[in-house]
Amino acid sequence: MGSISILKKSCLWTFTILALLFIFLPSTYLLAISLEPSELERIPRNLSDFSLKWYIRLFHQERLPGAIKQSVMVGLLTAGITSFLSLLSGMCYRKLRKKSYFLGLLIFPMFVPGIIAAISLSVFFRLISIRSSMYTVVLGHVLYALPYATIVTLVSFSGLKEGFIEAARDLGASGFRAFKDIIFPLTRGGIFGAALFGFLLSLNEFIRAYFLSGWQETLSIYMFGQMKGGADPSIYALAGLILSVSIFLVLVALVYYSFIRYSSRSFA
Amino acid sequence: MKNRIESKDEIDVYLKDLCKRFGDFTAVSDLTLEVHKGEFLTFLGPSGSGKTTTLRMIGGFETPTAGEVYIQGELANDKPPNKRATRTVFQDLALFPHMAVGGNIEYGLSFQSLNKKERKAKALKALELVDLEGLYERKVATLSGGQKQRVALARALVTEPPILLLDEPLAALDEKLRERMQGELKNLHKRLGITFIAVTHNQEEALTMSDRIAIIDRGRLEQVATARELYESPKSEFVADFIGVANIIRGKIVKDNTGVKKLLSNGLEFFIPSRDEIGIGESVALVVRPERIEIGDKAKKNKNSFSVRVRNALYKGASLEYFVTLCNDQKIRIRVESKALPQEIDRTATIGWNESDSAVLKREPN
Repeated sequence: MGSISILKKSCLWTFTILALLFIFLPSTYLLAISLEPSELERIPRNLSDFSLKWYIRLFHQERLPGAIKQSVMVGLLTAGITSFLSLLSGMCYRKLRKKSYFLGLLIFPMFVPGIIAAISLSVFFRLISIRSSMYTVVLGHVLYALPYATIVTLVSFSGLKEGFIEAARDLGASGFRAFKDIIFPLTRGGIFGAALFGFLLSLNEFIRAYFLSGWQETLSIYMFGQMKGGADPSIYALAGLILSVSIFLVLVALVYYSFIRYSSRSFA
Repeated sequence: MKNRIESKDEIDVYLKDLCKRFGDFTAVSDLTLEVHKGEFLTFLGPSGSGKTTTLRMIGGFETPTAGEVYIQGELANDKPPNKRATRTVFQDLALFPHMAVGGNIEYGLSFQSLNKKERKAKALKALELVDLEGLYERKVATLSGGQKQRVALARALVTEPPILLLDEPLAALDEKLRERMQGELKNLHKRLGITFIAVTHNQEEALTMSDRIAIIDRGRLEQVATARELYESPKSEFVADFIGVANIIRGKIVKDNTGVKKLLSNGLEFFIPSRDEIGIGESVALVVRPERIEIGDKAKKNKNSFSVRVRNALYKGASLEYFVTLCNDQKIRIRVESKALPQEIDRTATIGWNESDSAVLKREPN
């Protein structure tokens, strides 16, 4: 008790704040300079200088809506396919005898650098005569997101004791009813988490999209192009917009999860 | 393989030459047993003896490697659990955590054509049956061990199955609660009149609740009989030793100089109950229960009476236990009612029993 724990506490807090700053400062900086109306890259001097000029300018960009739409579609498809595949993995994992081999195979792609994965996929698709399109991007993103998503799903499946399924079968459930009544409600969180991972990872992914995209670029490719081509500060507005939307989505997810946990505790 | 056995209305479960192997390990071998309709049968045996595996094969959670399971006369080997007339109370209870008590109990009813009101009515009746009225809305996580146990029972019984399987039903309960539940399970069985098949490693539990007990050791059925038969006429050393305490004296059958068959063990001769099928020279084991042996001066009037060295004496309240050694180094354990022993027992004493108070078993010579 006393001074030693206060010292420890303040160290802990210092580290936490520094870490959070380190993570958020760059994006917050971008957000700040996006509100500067002049073409200079700086934080607005006074409060009166704050302007949404570049945000409004965004709406006049020709190629932007298409890129956003493409990113969202790719993201949703990735989310759907990834969560479905991780659900299948979760279902079979408990029956596996060499569980560690499965996990090893699953984790392995994580160690392949993004650019290597992107280029090899691009070469592979060309080899089997598949043209670059939205679907090749989705495939690349599914492969990318699958390890993360599956781990999330497997964690939620670990809370599903085999005994529950046996009890359900004993009471009269067919395989389908056992899934609908027992497995799904208990692993819903993991499947949703897998979908979320799939969507978010895909949305922000650049290198695979770059190599596998067809004629329609994704948002990250568009932004890369803008940066290379020396565009106006509306690019910062786009970054600020993406940041705001991401934070908003994460808050929504947090509220959703804590609401679930709260409602299941309210009877305790 | 016939799909139906001859309609013996009294047999609810018939196991024929049942075997279960997991890779190299044989969990159950050549188990043949009939479970009578309406009886309370318990599989009793040490941990790992294969009794739970057998129960799971009856319930449909394991597929037999060989042999047949007949449930109510029909071959059930290929039937999944949801198509069998059995309901199981699992060892870990497996209550669904995302449903309340009412939801858990009604789950089995959701496969029948009942509406919401009917289901709830049946669930409430089942709760009454297990003494848990008022807990319909409660979340499973808030229940005590004993309450969870009863919910699991109610969940299985609400569908009115003809056969109830119980896997170590009282293992998770503390002693006082266990004793109470033993009585309650027995009453429940009497009240419902259905067939109960339980598995336990607790001898006392089996003796208290069951009509018949099937002793299982290392995957084999040793003996199936009533508690009394098992205690008084064990068919093997394992059974003799497993049910209650037994003194086991091993040796060979010899004829003494008056032509009487006796047991010769390590140089000492014992009178034995006469059994025609036991011949001279056979290896046998003599089983004498501790409470059938007398100690003290009055022991001398028994046919089998010996001087012993008293190693230890334990006062157990209602009874006294003596640990003695015969002159052939055979250790014997004796239990006497405290009030029946007026005298103090010294370092040496006499013990004795009549041959009618013992049982003879054949054994493989080893």
